Amino acid sequence: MIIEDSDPSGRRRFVIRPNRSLSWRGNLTVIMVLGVLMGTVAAGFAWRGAWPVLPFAGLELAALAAGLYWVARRLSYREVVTIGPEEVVVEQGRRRPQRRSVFPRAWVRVMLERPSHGLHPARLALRCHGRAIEIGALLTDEERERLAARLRAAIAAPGPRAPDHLHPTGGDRAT
Amino acid sequence: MSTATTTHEAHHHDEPPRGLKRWLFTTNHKDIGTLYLIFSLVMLFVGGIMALVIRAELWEPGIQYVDPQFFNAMTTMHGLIMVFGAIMPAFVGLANWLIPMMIGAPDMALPRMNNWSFWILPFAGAMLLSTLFMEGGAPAAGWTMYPPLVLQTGEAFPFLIFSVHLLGLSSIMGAINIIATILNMRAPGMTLMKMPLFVWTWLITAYLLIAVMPVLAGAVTMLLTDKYFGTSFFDAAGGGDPVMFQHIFWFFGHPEVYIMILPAFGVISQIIPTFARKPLFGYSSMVYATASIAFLSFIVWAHHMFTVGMPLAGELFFMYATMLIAVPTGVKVFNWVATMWRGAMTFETPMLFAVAFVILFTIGGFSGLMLAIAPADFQYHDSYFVVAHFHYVLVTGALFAIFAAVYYWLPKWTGHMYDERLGKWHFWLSVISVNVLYFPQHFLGLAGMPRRYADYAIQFTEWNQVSTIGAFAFGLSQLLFVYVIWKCVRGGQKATAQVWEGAKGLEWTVPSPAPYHTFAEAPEVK
Repeated sequence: MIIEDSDPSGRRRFVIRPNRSLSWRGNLTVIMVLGVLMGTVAAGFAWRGAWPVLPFAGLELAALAAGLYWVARRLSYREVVTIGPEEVVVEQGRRRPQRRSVFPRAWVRVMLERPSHGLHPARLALRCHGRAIEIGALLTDEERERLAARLRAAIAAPGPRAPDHLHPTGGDRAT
Repeated sequence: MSTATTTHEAHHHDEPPRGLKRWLFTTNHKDIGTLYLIFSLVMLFVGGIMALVIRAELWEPGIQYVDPQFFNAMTTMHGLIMVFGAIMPAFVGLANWLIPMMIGAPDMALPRMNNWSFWILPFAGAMLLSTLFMEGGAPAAGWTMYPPLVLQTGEAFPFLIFSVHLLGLSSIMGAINIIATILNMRAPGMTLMKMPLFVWTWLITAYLLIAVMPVLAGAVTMLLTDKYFGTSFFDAAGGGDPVMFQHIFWFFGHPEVYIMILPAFGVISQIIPTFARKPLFGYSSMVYATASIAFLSFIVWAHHMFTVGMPLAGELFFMYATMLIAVPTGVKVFNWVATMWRGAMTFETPMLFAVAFVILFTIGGFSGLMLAIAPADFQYHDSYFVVAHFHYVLVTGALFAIFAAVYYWLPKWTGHMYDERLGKWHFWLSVISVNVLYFPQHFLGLAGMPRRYADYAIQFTEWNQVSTIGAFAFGLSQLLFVYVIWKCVRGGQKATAQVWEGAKGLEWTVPSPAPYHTFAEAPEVK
């Protein structure tokens, strides 16, 4: 999903993230509640001599925790595109920015490659001076098209421009 | 119940892959749901044929068609297959098809694990069935696998244990997936208390599964080590306790009963409001009642074993705790009836099965209350009254809810309306024959006929014959069910997106048949 807002300094910001309805802390609570329940049951049986219940309970709890961790990790991925007066910043990562790319706003191009085959998804990238970074891989094609249009509009919107001598095409920055 | 703000059209790239690979390697929740449902239908017939062998043998006193050992193998395999092969997979199939669509998720949270959890099932089921051809015959100690009797099983024993492990593993993976999906992948605005009741009941069921499956795994592993590795968990001669197995088994087994009935409650809570054209009465109380039933299911297990010689305090505790379950269950029945009260009701096949569920499941609930009375249970224990009770709960309860669910959502799955006339024929044949089949078993049990015997005293003949006639009629009626499904898959009147005039919820906002991918973009729920 795409959330469009402004950062504290008023710069336009696009947050691209999967839909997620429970935080990792919430998932941890689920694991702990079930852990206490299963631990109590298994310990009770172990106390009465049926200890083989314990390892199965442990294995199952580990599987549950691994499953929830995997899902929560996948859903915690974020891409934040911030459009400043001079630059476009792309931050990608989980929980905190793990990769940060900065492009000069005057030169950045929004590239939407439509697939040659209908089964393949479209690809969206920001490109500048031979350097490109893909964004929105987790979106649907419709969302990617919408994002591309909104990014182009936001980047082209009135604001500080690069000096004319650095701008050979006369301002055609987005395709 | 939630409503969506957008109607979702079919997406691009919506053509499913073709051929066998689609089904082998699929991670699509709809494909996997279909696989589960087909598997459970096949197993329903396999287990059903075993039931007919049992009923044919009981047509008259004496030994007619099968020897007592094979008869006991049939009762054992029938129970295991119906519980683990038919009812549970059917509800997991419904969960796969419906939960992502109901909460606005594109798929299950762990799609590859979803594929695994299904494909374990046919192997486990085949392994269990293969024991019929092994030296010493199939397991014949009852689906409860009580030692020391079960330890007398021949070569089939380790295969029985391994297949139970695999069936349990499949259930655990399914439960983890369902919990992860419901908690993490709800659409924006879909708060927990806006979730459809079917989703709520499955969330609670998944918790129950997670909590009790290690207990079953531990129990059957101890049986294995007792037989092959010289341990004495359940062998009194070695310091063990055979009654301990019953405690462990029923600590799993009673919640297992609710694992099979809570999703049925969810199905009925979806269907009745649709055909009464009213919102579900007391949504919150339904959620709390489901949670209460799940909690109580952990503290009533010993009502299955009142006759083992428990202390009086134990008998009293388990008796009262069991009776307490009638309170939240009564809340549910009241709410279903209150939903229908002064509703603009119509009686299409799903509604007929839902109404029959409410009435007949309540009969099963009342006979359960009779069994909960410890001093009375000493009379009823291991009699045909118990058989009648749990078949009213699991056949006219769980299975009827599955029938209702299939008729209700079949147009959404196939894009075609089923043949309503044949659906009604299926309903009336089923509801009449099922009562002819099971109601006389109450009389037989109260008159003293024990369960799990190939022979019986002559005074039980007439009601056994009535029951057997009902069994064959019920079994044959299900061929009509298969025909209705087959006919609907092949074609028929085109179904609209909403299908039913009173249907509410996200799954009714997508076209019929539901596109291969739905809600790739999360809907906004108001």
